[in-house]
Amino acid sequence: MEFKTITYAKESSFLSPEENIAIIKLNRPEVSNALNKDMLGEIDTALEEIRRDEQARVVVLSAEGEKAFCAGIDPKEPSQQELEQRAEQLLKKIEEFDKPIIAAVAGEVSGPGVRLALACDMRVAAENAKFQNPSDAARRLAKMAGRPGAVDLLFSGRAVEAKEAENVGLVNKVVPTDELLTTVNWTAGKIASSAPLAIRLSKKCVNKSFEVDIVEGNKLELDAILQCARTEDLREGIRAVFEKRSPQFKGR
Amino acid sequence: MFLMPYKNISYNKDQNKAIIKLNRPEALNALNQETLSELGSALDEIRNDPEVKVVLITAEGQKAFSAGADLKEASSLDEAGVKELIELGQGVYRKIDDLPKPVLVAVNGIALGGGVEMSLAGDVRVASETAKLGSPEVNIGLIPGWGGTQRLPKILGKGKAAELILTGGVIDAKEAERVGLVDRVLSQDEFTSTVNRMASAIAAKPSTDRAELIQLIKSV
Repeated sequence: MEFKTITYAKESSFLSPEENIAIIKLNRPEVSNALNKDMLGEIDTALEEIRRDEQARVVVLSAEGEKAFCAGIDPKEPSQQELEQRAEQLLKKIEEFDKPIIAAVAGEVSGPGVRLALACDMRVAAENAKFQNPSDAARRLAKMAGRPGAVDLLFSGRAVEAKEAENVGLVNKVVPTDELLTTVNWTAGKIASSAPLAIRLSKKCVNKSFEVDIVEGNKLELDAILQCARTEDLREGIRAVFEKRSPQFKGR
Repeated sequence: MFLMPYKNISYNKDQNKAIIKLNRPEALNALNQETLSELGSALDEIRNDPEVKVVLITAEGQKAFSAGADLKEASSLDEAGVKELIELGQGVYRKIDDLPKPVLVAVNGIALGGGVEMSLAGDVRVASETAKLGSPEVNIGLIPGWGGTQRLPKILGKGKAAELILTGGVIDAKEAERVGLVDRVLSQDEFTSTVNRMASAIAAKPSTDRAELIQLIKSV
């Protein structure tokens, strides 16, 4: 598939020669990778392709260039409001996507770009990452701060640099800028090597944890465990523990 | 009050402190059905005991707090058995959660899967510097099923919780403290004495407010 505003590729990792990591790269560095109508459409198309691709187990969302991850919505777009709505639909799709999505964030992140990063399941940031006014992404932000006190800082309304973002839980990890993609490849490779059903259901249960109480949440977990219990992968996983070897999951 | 005899855990009272210890060190305190049931009974005793002002949950042995679900037992179960085991663990951990008394969990070594999930149901967590913690369920084709996917995101934040669960990674005590999985790390030789002092401090000033408890255990 040919894309104009993004690039799409697949990658293997040190854990497997299989190209099981799908990489979407925002590719409009000349405008700080701002989102326009075409780009939103192309990300959506790429995600649909990944959804159908059984080999692809995990997604990395990154951006071309080190200066900006995403500057939000392109101010040149004629209908800002319509684009805002389309962006929000895409973010929802990213959150609910049946494969985990890792954001690899370098440089400036602003406006809906912050929301884009936060919609992903986790974020690895380069040292030069800077989140402009993350409090714009209030609803998603509130879920990121586990530590008491972190919420206050996140909602202070000022820009948050990489190190601080790491301390409050806005990003998972900060690494030197030139190590960003190898670090993300490692994390993605690890996820891609686990049983796909367990990964999909884990993501779903974690997402739901902010919407349901513990009794309801426990029911979701039980349902997920019973689904896993019917897979060949779980039997293989348990055998591998007793035989002290790495499991060979087949995705069934 | 009469204390029930237990086989897989020990339950003792020291003045107003209730102390539960997982007691299968030879099996790395792996959680089988009997252990979970006994834990549930001890929690019922504690709930109804007006003397108890604080609960300390920890484990016997130097190596492990708990290696998680007893895989040998679990892998022998049919679907109905799996359902029963999951609901048993979920129910017992909700008892920890629902206890109207502060619960301090002292992670004295390895805590994996169901072991970590037990700690998450408590109000505050401390770990020995040699402890290693993780939710490695996906590595065998499972998900955390005893509340881990629900409690972890609220304690760590969604991103960190997703990372720990989806990568199945195991982290050391220092990293666990950095990400908020434990509230304080103690050196091995001062572990038991400090944990006891913490429990006494909480008993003297009982609260289930997490921020208050964290402050209290950091001052001991």
